[in-house]
Amino acid sequence: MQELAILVIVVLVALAFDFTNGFHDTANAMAPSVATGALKPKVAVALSASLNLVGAMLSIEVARTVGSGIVDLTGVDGESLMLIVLCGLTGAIIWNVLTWLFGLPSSSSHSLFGGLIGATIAALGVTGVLWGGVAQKILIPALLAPVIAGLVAFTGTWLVHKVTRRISTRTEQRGFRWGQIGAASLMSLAHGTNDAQKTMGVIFLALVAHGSLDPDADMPLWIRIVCAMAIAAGTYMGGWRVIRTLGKGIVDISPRQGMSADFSSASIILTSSHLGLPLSTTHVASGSVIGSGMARTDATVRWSVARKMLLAWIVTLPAAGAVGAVCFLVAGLFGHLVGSIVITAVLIVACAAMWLRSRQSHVDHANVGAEWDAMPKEERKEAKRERKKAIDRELSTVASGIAPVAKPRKRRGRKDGA
Amino acid sequence: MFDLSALLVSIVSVLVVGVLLGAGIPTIYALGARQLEQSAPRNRVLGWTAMAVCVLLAAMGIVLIVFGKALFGI
Repeated sequence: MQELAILVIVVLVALAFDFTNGFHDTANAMAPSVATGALKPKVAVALSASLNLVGAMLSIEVARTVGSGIVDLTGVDGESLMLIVLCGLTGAIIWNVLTWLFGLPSSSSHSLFGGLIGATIAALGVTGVLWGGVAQKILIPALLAPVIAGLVAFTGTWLVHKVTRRISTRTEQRGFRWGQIGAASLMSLAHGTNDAQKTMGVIFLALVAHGSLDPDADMPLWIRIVCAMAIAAGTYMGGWRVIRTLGKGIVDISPRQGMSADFSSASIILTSSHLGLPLSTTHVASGSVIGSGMARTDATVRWSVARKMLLAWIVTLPAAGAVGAVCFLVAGLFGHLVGSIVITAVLIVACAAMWLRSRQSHVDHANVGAEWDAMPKEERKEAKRERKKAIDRELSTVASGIAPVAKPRKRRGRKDGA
Repeated sequence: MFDLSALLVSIVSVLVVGVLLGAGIPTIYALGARQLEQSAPRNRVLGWTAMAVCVLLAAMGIVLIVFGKALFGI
């Protein structure tokens, strides 16, 4: 009975992770389309959610590989294994929600692996982690994903700009809109085939630990359906803060650039899924956006935003790992069942606190496309007051005869703060 | 176990397919968009053909990558 209760908790928390995965990663597929206005924000997330749902049902290749080659959990008893998985998921969810709060695109897969590694170290020591596998499956791909994606997107965007340098703005806006929608759809499908399966793998692992499933059994249909629905629901909620950073923060995306970035990401994700190379969709999508921005001469990559994102990528694995490890140690104080309940309660409180904090600077479908460098209202008012004072001073010097009447100057455009 | 050769093969494959499809499809699409801007029937036919090639390549990519093992053993 106790094992069943822990299993139920693990499955529910795994589905919550799947939800945050969709929520966090909506940006990977839809940020360029939302940023260029190719799709309205609500339509974009609805389309992405539907295609994630389809993608999640298409293949289960990735599900079989979750955790394998990264942690060695052989010989661990069922309840302890489920507790390790629960603590790993908790670390992953907390990191996902925290990076969402700061609007940083970070890898959900890395947070999951980080959480599992941390909980495993707390349970079994460092010998429980297969460090060669960590290097091959996490660290090297993490370094390579943005570089490969950046190269491909740079090439694509450069070629597209070369070919279409004389086309009209109208053709650019209308002609590339459909290309961008197609590419974003492909990317959503790719995301579904890749990410939903990680949660399927985690639930499968928990069921094997509980003894409900044989390790060689096929993936049960109910797991595929609930995971597909959880990631689709998360995607539909739309992680607007991350969409805003990826779509507006790193570089101002043009329709041609958005299409090239999305095609680059989709082709790389689909190929890497097929080859079993676990590239993070977030790293690929972000690398593509940066690469496509660098190929344009009329747009500047905001490296300050990119640096913050890079820092989040570096910290993801150890941070999620630390939370996972602490959770396991805390759960150990209470015993398996009560420990699981305590950890779940901590998770709920932490997520609720971060959600409440997010309400202070709300980002949603209505303001997700606002200009990145737009001045806050107070600063705008202050700038207006300063301008008014300067004009008054100029008028008073002219009126008192200190300065000659100057020729009327052209009004400066609104772009420079007017 | 760290398998460097398998990793390298995967990376090169992803890069090659990425450049071919990820950069190739947008370029063909751009060529199509440029042709469609012209009003001559020949240009429009060429333009729509390029668009159709893009759709075909994307669909083929999905089928090969998602169902490649089941259908063709690759």
